[in-house]
Amino acid sequence: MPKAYWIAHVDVRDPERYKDYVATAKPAFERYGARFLARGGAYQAMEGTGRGRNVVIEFPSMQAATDCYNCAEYQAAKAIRQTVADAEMVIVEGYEA
Amino acid sequence: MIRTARPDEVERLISIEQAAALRFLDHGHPGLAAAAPAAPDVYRALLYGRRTLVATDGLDQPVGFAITEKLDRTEWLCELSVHPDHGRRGIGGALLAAVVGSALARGCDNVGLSTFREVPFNAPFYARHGFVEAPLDRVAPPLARRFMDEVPAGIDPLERVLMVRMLRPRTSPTAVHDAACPIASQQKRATVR
Repeated sequence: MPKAYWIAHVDVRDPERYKDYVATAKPAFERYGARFLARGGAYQAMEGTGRGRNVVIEFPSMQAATDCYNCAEYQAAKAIRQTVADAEMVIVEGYEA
Repeated sequence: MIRTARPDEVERLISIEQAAALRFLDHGHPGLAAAAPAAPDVYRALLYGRRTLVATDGLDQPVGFAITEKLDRTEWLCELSVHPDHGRRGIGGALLAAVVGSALARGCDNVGLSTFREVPFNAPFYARHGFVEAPLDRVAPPLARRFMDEVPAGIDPLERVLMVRMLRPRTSPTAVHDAACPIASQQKRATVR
C-alpha cells in the first residue's frame, strides 16, 4: 500500500499563536501515524514565490492522511492556523515504481 | 545566524545594498538600481543612533541586514536588504522576525516601514509577514513624515505604501491581534486548507 504525504508551504504571520496550532494538531498527528520528514527547516525556493515554512509529513496511507486532516482535532487546529498563517497544502499519494 | 552589525562591516553592508538594489532593474525602478553607493563614512553616519542587525553565513559574514530606528512606540524599519545570492531562503523573513523580537524588547508595540506597493519583493513580501497598509492620515505624524522623507526622488508617493505590523506581547489574547489587523484577516490571498 503506498504511503501518502502532506506537503505544505506556509507563511506564518504570528509565530506565537502558530505554536497553539502546532500543539492543538499534535494529538491528531500521533493518532494517524504522522512522520515529519521536513518541518520548517532551511530551504531554498528554486522556482515560484516560495513561502517561509515548508513541511512534509509522511502517513502510512492515503486514508490515514485524509482521515487525519478531516478529524475534529485537526480541524480545530486548522481554524487557529488560518487566523495567523497563509498556506497551500496538498495530500499526495506516494510513488511506488 | 542573526546578530548586531560590527562597525568594520559597513563596506560589506554597502555592497549587499548595491547587489540587492539591482533587483529593481526588473521591476520598473532602474534609477534605484543605478544609484551610486554611499561612501563608507556617510553610511556610517546614517547608521549612528540606529540599530543594525545582520544575517550571517557559515563564515559569520553578513549576507543581509535590517536597519531600524525607534520612533516613539514604533520600531521603524529603515532598510532591509538581502544579497540576491542568498535570496529565497527565508533570510528576509528571519531578519524581520529578529526586528520584531528586538522591537518588543525595547518597548515598541508596532513595526512600521514604507515601501513600494507593486514591487513583488516589497509590499507583497511584508504582507506575507503580517504587515498591513496604514493610511497616512491615521498614523502618528512622525510616521507620516518619515514616509514622505523616504519617497525616492522623482517617485510618485502614491507608488509607495506605509505598512505597520502590530505586535502582541506574549500574554495578550488573540483578540487584540485580530482587532489590530482586520485587513490582514480579510486579505487571504491564497486558498488556505
